[in-house]
Amino acid sequence: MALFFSYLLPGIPYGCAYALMAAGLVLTYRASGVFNLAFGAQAYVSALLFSIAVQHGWPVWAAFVMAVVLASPALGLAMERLLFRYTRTSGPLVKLVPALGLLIAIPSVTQMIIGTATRLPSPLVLQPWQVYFHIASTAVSGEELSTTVVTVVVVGALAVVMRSRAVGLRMRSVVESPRMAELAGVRADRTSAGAWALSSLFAGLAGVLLAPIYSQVSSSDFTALLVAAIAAAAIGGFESLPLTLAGGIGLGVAQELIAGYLPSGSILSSGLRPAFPFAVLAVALVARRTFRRGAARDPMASCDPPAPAFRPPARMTEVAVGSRVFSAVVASLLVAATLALVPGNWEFVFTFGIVLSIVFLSITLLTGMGGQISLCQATFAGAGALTAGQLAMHAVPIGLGILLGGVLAAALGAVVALPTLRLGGIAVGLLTLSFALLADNVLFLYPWSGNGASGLTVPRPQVGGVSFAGSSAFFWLALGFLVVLGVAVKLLQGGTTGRELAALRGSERAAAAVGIDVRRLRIVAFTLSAAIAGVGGALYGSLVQSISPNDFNYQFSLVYVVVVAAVGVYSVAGAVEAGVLYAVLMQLVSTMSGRFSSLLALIFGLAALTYVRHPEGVVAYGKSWVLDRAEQLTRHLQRGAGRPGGLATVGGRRRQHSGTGS
Amino acid sequence: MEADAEGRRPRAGALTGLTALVLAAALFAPAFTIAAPAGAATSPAGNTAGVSAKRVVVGALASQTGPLPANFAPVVTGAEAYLDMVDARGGVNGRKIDLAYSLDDQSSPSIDASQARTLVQQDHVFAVVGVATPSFTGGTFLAANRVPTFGLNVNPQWMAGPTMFGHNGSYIEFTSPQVQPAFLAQQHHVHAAAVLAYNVAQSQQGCQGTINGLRRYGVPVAFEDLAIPAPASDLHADVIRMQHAGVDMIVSCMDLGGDVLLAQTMRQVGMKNVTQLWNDGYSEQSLGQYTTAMQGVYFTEPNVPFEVTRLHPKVYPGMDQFLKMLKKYAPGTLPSEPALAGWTSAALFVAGMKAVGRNLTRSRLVAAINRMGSWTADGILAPVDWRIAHTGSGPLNCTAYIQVRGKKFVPVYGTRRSVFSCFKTPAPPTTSPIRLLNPVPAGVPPT
Repeated sequence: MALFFSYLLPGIPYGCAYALMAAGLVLTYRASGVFNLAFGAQAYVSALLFSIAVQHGWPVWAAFVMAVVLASPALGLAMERLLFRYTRTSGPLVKLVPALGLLIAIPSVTQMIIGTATRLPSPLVLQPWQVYFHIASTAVSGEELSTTVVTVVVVGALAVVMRSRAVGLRMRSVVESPRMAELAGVRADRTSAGAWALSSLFAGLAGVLLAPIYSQVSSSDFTALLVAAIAAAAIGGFESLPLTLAGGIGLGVAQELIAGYLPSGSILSSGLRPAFPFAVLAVALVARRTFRRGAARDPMASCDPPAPAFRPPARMTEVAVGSRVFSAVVASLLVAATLALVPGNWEFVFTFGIVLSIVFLSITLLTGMGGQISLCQATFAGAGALTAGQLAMHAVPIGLGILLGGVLAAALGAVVALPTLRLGGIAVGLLTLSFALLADNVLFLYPWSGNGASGLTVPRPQVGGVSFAGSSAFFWLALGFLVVLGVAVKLLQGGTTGRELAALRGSERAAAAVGIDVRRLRIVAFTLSAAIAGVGGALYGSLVQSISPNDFNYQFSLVYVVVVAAVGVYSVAGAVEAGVLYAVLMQLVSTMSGRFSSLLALIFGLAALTYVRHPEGVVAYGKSWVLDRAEQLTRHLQRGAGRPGGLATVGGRRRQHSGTGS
Repeated sequence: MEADAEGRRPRAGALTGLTALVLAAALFAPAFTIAAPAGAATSPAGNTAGVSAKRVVVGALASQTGPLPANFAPVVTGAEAYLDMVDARGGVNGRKIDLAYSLDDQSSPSIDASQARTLVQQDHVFAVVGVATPSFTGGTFLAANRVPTFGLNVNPQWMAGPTMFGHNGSYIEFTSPQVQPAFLAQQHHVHAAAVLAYNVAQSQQGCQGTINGLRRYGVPVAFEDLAIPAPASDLHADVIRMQHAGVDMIVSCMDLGGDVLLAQTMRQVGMKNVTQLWNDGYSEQSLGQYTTAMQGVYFTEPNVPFEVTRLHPKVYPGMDQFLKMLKKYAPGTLPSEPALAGWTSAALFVAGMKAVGRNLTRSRLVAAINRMGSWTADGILAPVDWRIAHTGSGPLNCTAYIQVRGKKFVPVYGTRRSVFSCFKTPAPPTTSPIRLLNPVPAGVPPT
């Protein structure tokens, strides 16, 4: 029994660390409707500020006030005022993309402005490793004591506040129906700002309290803790703070018991332990009714029809043709320059951009066309790459391996789609995230998949007598794949499936009402998307020729969504632009070192913040702006030439776009 | 081009762009040549890239930013310090060595692949001197293009060909039985050993080699956990199990953060008198920060410990020089394993240049180095036989053991003449004490 308690008791503070982060997520979600994946980044900023201030001789209390009481709520207020105020009535994707952008941008900005802290984070009150007393012969340290007490007290207090009429009810009412709340006299803006300040204060507290667990203050540590803590939030249904607290503690205790009782060195132990939080997340998402699709919360939501799907504006024929010619010329020059003018490393960069474009096409299909959130596209790409590598090790021709990589990824896509059929909104994204984490922590670590520390060699293809080993030849091969897959997605977009996907994106209920089999469509979308990502991943493997599972971890999935959403998620062109732009900027930024090395993350992170105003993407918006000016100029010239003016007649026919955006 | 009756859109810009790419493909068809395989021999021009009458241009590639820059970035500082010293003395065969490009891969595999190509195809360096990264994706390209490459050997790409020179040999067999932990266990009469690693392939397989070595040499492994989630945030269950299993030696393949957490958790639960062998943390900076947690901990190094300069002055002139020049050319940089790897990498490159003479080409440089039978970087490293070091480990395995005592690292074991402890490998499985080669064989520093 004593042994049991010696495992159980340390699990409580361990679980409280989860609960603290999870409660922050739930608080933000309940108070703003945003699933704030940047919560870990906010906690990191406060922990960093606190540590640096203490290292510079500030008293602990002063550093705490500066980092937690002032800086953290200020950051939260800025996020609310500049960004999330405008997403209050938006769909899950519009709320998620800026949060992902912040997750990437906040550490980058912090690194540029403040730098990094390499020293041990300072303790808040108690000495972290000093033993203060024993319970059932189990020593309790300062870190465990402070984490447990603060978590229980703060989460308990928050639960009381959220139940109160003055604060909690107002916050929830603003999230559930801002218009109804305003009709009842609640000032939605002020309430929302208060909610963000409170949740950000919570993030700051979590950061400073939990920092001593780690040997240095690192944003990736907080993000990793947050990702594991999502399971606790899911147990609470993103609603109940007491259940979240219980879920977090239960998770910590269960992990300790698994580590304590499973046979040492067994496959069960090595597989189950790292997979546990993510398996719990998946089960909680599927099991809880809260996450089922179709739950309309806003009683006034039916006052307006659903927001129309994005469609590009109609263009004058002259401008449309001119735009196409310009695109063709730029693309041709790009290809020519790649092959003839630029150094060989730029040939690699553009080939990388093309390969990345193929992976991004998978996001265009799933998210842009179908409105489904996936946070595991890099995992699908990894499945394709590792399959191609493993098959190459067994003397299967790599050309065939690339295609089979796509097939295996497609199968995985279908498997991932199945549990999402009952889910809606952010839950779909989180379920895919749990799959990505399971792959990172278990699936890809086996010798038969990732081949361990040695990784895998993926050769360049040879088809018949034609070898694609050379960089130029491989460039053409990648371009060929992009053209074929791009045209296929384009045809799909214009066909029946594309229209069904557009309906799915607009309103699942409406789509079902007109006879679309929504479940089948989701499986089809995930399967096709995963297949494309798998082929892209296999081509990436063949491009760099040496891969490891770490090249496809969950963080890449988050970055991919941010990049495509920032540039343009609705069109094939957007995917190509995103891929090439990312590769080119990566090469340009890589010449910068030190603080500015994370500029690439900052650029795309900040660009993703514009998704709220411009869901078509910044590049698509930019192109639209230029074409608007071009149309004005054309009209002006035509008037000058004596041709009839006026919007209805200028330029003769105006092209009519309909259906999905491009 | 208007929408049809069904509202079907005409082909928009994307399709046009893609069509344009196909057209461009036709236009530039003459450029489409079935290129030579990636492993093709270096062209004559490439063989002397970066070499002029008075200068040799080289580059470096390291993770200077990312999650763990301190474990990789100093390789560049070490290489720069050595090359600055050589240049200050007039260079090699009338040529100064210019480390003109120091690129950062930001710990990203795709950036690493891109940066390797930038060094070769844009910057036209003769060699890459000073590589340290967690994902050496660019190594495949460098090996295929036969670019002499020197750096910290922690990636499988170092085994990609005869032009790849890891700081202490290029062969890595992650899971092969390791004799060093077993020797330490026998010295401490260990009854029950435990091995801990992260749920990360490199960490797992490194410790699998430890387990294989302990078992091979008859040390009971009472507990193993090679699936600790990284970063470690709680190790109570592992520590309690080890305590109940009577573990008296722990080998850790975690990073410094995990190791410190382990030591602190052991202290909390009252687990005492345990021999600890860590793979990460041998640096003055770490010791200054975690003095209490690191007490009594052992480290093994393939090189002479930094402390020999203080303890055995003038016996290891190579290490004396490293510390002196690091202070001179990189003030503020503390000695560390990656800095030393950079230094010895540059030293190997320079030794190769000296052996080649004035007629410097990549292939001649590589051939000259691969003829070296006992490379020690002026008495810093255990001997590396470059005639076989690309494809296997030699018959001799030399290691320096270091223990933390107070605020100092202290070299331990070794022999009368050397800080190195040398073993014959592969030794037969045995439960009798592993025999040190005493005195150390000829060629092992300082002999």
